Amino acid sequence: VIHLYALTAEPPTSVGLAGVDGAPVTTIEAGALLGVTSEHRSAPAATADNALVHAAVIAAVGEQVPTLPVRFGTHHRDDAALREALAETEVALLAALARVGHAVEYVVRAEATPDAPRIPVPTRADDDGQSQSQGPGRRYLEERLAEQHAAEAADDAARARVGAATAGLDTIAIAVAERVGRSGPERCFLVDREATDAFAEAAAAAAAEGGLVVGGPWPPFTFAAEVTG
Amino acid sequence: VSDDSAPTAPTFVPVGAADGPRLGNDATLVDLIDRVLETGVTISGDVVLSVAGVDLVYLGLRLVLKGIEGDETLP
Repeated sequence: VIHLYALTAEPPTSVGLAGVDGAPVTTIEAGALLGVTSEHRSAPAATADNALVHAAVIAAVGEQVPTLPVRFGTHHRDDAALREALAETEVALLAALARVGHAVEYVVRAEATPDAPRIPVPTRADDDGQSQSQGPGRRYLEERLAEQHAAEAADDAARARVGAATAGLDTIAIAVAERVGRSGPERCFLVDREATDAFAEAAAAAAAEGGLVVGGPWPPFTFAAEVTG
Repeated sequence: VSDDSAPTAPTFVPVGAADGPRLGNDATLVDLIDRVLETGVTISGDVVLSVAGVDLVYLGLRLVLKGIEGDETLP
């Protein structure tokens, strides 16, 4: 299968990258786009190591030419299938490439609180009448609901703290987005490569005052696109 | 991440390589992995969701771009 890392509109200036499982990284022409790919006998597993190699390949290409990062896990059976898929969305992909391909992403978030549950828990009782009783089922649900409310309150507090501490970074960034990641609420910044030094310095200063964590520069995953259905 | 590929990949700097990580520090690698697996452009094609090396789901996806300037659902 063809593993797709990224899309560009011009060939990288340097070749010889090693991708997932050490497979050589190549480019496949598809209309006005170039797919940055590697070939595998079967689809690479979604492991942390593979995800990091995927990101590192995109970062390496992104240092050479404007690059649109592709979410890990998209595979096509062969070159023709990839070309067919890209042809369907070429205009939108080129627009996205022009919008974010020249930039990098930083993230600022509060330090993780491992005790706070991040996985949503069920809060609705079954409609079998048990919810009206004071039995163990109701207690269980109430405890889960309390945990969920506590987690939401913690997220709200973290979101407010990150927002207040990083408001001054907005003017350096091209765009700002908020999302909830594995470690809680975070603010994501799309930053022009020419401004990374200034942004990194300002972000480090803001983080030091607020007890926050700064990540990046990374390929602009958050700003490139996301699957919504 | 292994650096087995280094001899044949002059521009590829594995995470944790001696000349410095390209992708950040250990404290934020989980944030990066989160992005790699959850965000980025998705092209219509086959997506494999795996746990512990076992492919659990293999499905086709349609592309929906959600850009910074608004949503754009593709045909």
